[in-house]
Amino acid sequence: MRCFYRDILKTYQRRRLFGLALLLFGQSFIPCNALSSGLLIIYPNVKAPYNKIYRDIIKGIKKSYPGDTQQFQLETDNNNNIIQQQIRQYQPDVLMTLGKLSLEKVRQLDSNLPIVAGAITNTEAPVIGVSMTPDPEVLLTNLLTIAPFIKRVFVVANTGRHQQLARAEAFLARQNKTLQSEEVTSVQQAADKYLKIINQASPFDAIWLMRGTHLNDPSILMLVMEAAWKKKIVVFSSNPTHVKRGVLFSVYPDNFRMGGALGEIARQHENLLTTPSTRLSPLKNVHLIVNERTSKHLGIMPNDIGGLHIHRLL
Amino acid sequence: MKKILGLLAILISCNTAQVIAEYSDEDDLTSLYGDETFVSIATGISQPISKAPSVASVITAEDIKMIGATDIDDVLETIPGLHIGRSSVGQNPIYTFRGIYSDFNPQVMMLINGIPITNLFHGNRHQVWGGMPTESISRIEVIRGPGSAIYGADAFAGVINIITNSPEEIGGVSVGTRHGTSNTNSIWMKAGGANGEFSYMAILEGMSTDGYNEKIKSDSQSFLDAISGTAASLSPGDSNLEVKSVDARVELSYQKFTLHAATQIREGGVGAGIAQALDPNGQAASKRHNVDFIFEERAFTKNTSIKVNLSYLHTSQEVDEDFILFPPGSKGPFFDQLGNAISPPFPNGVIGNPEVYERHYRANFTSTFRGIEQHELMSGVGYYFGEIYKVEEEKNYGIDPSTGLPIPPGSPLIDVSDTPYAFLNENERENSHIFIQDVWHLAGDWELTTGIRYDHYSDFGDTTNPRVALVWSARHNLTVKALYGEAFRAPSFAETGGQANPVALGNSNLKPETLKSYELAFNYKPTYNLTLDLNLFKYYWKDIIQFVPDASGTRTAQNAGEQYGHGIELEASWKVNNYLSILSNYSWQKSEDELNNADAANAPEQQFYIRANTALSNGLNITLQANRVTDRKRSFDDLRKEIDDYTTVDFTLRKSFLTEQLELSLIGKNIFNDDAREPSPNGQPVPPITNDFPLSRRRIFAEIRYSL
Repeated sequence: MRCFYRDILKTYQRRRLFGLALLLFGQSFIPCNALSSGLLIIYPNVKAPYNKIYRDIIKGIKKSYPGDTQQFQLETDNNNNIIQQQIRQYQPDVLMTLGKLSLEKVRQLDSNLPIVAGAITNTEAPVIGVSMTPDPEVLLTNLLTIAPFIKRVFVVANTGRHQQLARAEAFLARQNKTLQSEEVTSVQQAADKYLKIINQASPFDAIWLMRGTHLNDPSILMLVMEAAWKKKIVVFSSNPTHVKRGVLFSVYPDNFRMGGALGEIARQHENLLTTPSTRLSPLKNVHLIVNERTSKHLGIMPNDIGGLHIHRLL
Repeated sequence: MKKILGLLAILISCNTAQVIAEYSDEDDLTSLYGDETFVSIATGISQPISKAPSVASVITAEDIKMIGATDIDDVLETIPGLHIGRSSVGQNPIYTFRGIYSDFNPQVMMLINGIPITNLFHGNRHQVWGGMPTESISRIEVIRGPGSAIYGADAFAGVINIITNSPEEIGGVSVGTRHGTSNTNSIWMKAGGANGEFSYMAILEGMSTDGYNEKIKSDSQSFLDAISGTAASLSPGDSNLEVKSVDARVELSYQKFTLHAATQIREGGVGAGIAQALDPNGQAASKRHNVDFIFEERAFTKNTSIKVNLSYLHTSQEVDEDFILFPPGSKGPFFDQLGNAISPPFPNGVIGNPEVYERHYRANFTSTFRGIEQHELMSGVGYYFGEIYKVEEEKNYGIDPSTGLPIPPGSPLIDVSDTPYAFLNENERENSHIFIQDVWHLAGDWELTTGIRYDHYSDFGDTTNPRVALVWSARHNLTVKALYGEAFRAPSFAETGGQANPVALGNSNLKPETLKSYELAFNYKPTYNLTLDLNLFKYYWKDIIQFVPDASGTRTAQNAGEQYGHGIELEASWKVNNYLSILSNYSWQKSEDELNNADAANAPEQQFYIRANTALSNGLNITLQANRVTDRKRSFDDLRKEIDDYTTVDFTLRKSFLTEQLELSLIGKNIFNDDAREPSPNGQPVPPITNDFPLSRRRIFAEIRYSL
């Protein structure tokens, strides 16, 4: 009997298998970095594919932050002592938190170190950092590049979004465009408002689907998309998955460049003794995602959109 | 069916037991991006599925894990219009698309990372196939219908493109093992990572199984015994389905350069026997190595992207333990004109050990140009050189080339390589091609794709294959496609150069088989959670290569057959809620053997598949699936009663722990132990194996995966 595994060994030789084993397992033995000061990044241990988001942000931070960076992956059940221990070990100038859990845990510590927060959508805490929620100005800039013929933008928003709406209105006004906003407090109200907008809108108008509790009901979305298709009205959204459902475009964070912005903020604040009382900056670094089918239906050829890089075409 | 419905009801009721997890960073990210699939697309881990104007299905690594697929065949069987038959040799898969069935199955093109793995010998994947494990697979794209206008030869009844994991997808080190019925053991290790612009992945998979034991009641020797007065047959007995396999894959990527290298090593039994006479000891082996190099520049100029692809594939068919074509005591299939056996019994059996070694080289250049308004042009040129560079055969029957006399029974094995008495001679083939395709956004919601490919072959000349696809976005939730395509299937070297075989002689004047196909496809999304697909098709398959009896009593390959078929495929995918999803499809096809004015044989006329999956927030994932295969006709001259329909039901239970670092699974296949069978070939005067090929009965596997 000619032995199968012996054949393999003969053919491929032990040293090649050893090489493969090294390649497979080598990365388990990469040593930790030595003690140094600089930036300590604390981020949560999450499953794939979410962990890729943090990996990309950290890559961006490391690229832009000139000093040493250390990172610590936080488990849900880690207590504050473990973070304290990390701080004592690395003696950082700045703490960078990614995600809600990291920020909550770090804020509970009695530390005078400046905190820069990233990878969160919002927080009531007075921290500096970058929000993961895209700046409305960025969304509208994309709209006017893709569809420069738009003269008016309709939006239905939950109450309490005055700041965002004011910012959007001011931006559009500077471009000689108008924003027509409606506030709602229930799904029924949202449906009524969207119906009114659809009846009123022409192909020179666009509908902005904002995030909000009452606004993302699937039946409302279907209603809007069906009518918009028939009347050839541009619909864009703050929610990138809506692109799969037929809206023309949306944006989502460019995690690497967002990391770069966070690294820059950390550099600016590393010598401050106290955290300034401020809010998160809106996200400027985004990727554009476009629905090819809708785009062609509207007569907008994705290839002909000048000045924009389409990150994903669905 | 009641059992299946009962299981589905249990699965649906599981939803009420879901655990509400506390709001976490993952929830925050999910609300920002929309869902987990979208996170994968946005972060570049997975690519959005291309909207090719064809009837295509995509199966992801997630689906593969969900259904507990241990081999690609488990996955491919779930696709509408595709059924997997089995051949007598090693139970090799016969990927049967829309009624197009043949013993060696060269009408289907299989690619790995876009590179064909077709062999020259029989035009299929390989005769010592030994399965394909699933751990290295990122996704499988399956096109039903022809694709020769892009892919060239053999993209005929369907195209199966297997895309392996990228470094990003693996992202770390993980290991796993699976053990189960028939002493089936699998083990795998994966590693992937990146350092700046350099990224790498490596996967090693090993599998061994004793194969299942389902009795073959009678074989070709049983018939020979009856007419030659011997008692040599080993039937009833088991097929020899033992397999050992090793698959190693590496991907290295730097900037715009990607290198894939892989090795597949197989050793296994010969199934129900090379000559359909049971051979419990015959052992075949195969070593397949491939390397491909890709350079891709997506912004070569403002409007042009280019891709250069160079590849090499080496394959071997080797004999590890003698192939006993007919068992000891057999007088073999050697008769005079009156039907009397002319040989005394062979004390060691009739032995033939064919070995084949092949090399394939490919160079392709493709470019896409978007500079003309409303158009996207893709064009490409390519060159292929393939050769069977070594053929070896030892046998103890036929003519001894050194004496020119018959080899008497009981003789030692004689080497007949490189003589007219070997089954095949060394040979080579060159092919060059050029193609162009234009996607033209006609107006409004209409898009027209036209493509044509010209191929020149060194051995059988030229062929030109066009395709046209008109896509209409009829409504915001309805897309209609009308497709026409032509395809060709290059004759294999066994068909052009087979020799020294009294029942299958090659013919160097063969033309390619041709196919013309018409399809109408509807995609409708009545709600965001429900997608419905309806495909209608019709095809004409001509110049089918068959071994036709001639005046001298032998059979010679001829472009003789003709088949016409039509059918429908219905698919529904329903996401009931965040925890439960249901997928189902139904296929019906009717194909006719035009030459004999009879129903085409062996392919199922109806198939039904349903799968329900529930993913609970406590990390428990349960999948149930059922596959029903019905109405497989016999060939016009096959007197056996129709083969029974069958239904297999499978389940997968998967539970993850420690932020999905550890995963335990229990997989059950054919849990109701149905006696599922695939048709065995007909023969003259009787089918060599009468009671068809039994598939495996109930199998249970336990699996553990760990990410370091």
